[in-house]
Amino acid sequence: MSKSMWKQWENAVSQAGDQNVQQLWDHLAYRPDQLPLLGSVTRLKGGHMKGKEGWSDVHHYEITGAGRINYQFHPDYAGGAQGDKHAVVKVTSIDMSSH
Amino acid sequence: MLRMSATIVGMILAVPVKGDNIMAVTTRSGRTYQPTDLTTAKRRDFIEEARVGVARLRNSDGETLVALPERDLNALVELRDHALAFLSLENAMSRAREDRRSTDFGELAWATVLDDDDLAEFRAEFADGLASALAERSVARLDKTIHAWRLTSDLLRDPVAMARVNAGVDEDDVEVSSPTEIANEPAV
Repeated sequence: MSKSMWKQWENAVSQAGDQNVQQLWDHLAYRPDQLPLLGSVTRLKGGHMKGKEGWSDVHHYEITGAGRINYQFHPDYAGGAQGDKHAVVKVTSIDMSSH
Repeated sequence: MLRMSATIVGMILAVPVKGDNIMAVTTRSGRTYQPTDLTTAKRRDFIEEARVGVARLRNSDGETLVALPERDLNALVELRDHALAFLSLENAMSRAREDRRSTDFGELAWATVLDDDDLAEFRAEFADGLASALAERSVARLDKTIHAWRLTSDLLRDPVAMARVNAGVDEDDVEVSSPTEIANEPAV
């Protein structure tokens, strides 16, 4: 997640509550390509939301009791400082406004 | 006084006796009831026909009323609304892009941000969804499709977020630990 989103993440934690944010974190960390146990996930539409170079399509998670988060995941990402292949979930945006 | 269960019969609608421009409906018996039937044992048949589809009643003015499950009526109303939205989309797409105004899209004004390829895909999914909704008498799946496109348009309006789509992880990115782990970390 971008450092620039850290404040929004902290706001999400405070607004949604520990349990809902933990559910979001568990979903992103363990099963970002599955339906969540709670909350809802929508795969976004259209050509601009298609994943490239191993990235998934953009997904949208609605945090119970709070805002929304958009993300992509990559099962074998080899970029970044670590270099080795590892699974990565990248948060593209956090929106705490009501819909 | 006639008493009808609201949980069984949704609403009675007035329809033209000889109307040709309304949705064709078929009653189980093909029978049209009279108001006096509802004061006799026939009212059970009337209610049962309404419960499983459509029951017709002709009042003293010769106007035919129909009773049907409320969920079916709601589905028809929602389908009408979606059909009108679809027509607005078609109308907007029939104009050259430079001539389109957001108001041309009606309640789908958010779709103006979609490029022509996305609009064509949205239109195709909308048409499929309408056909399915008619068959299923439910707009639930169509609503999900429209919702996904709405969310897509929201993200397309955010250039900062769009710059991150398909971009690699960079030095500006930080890992997010589990909220539980963060909470359990000893204070320094």
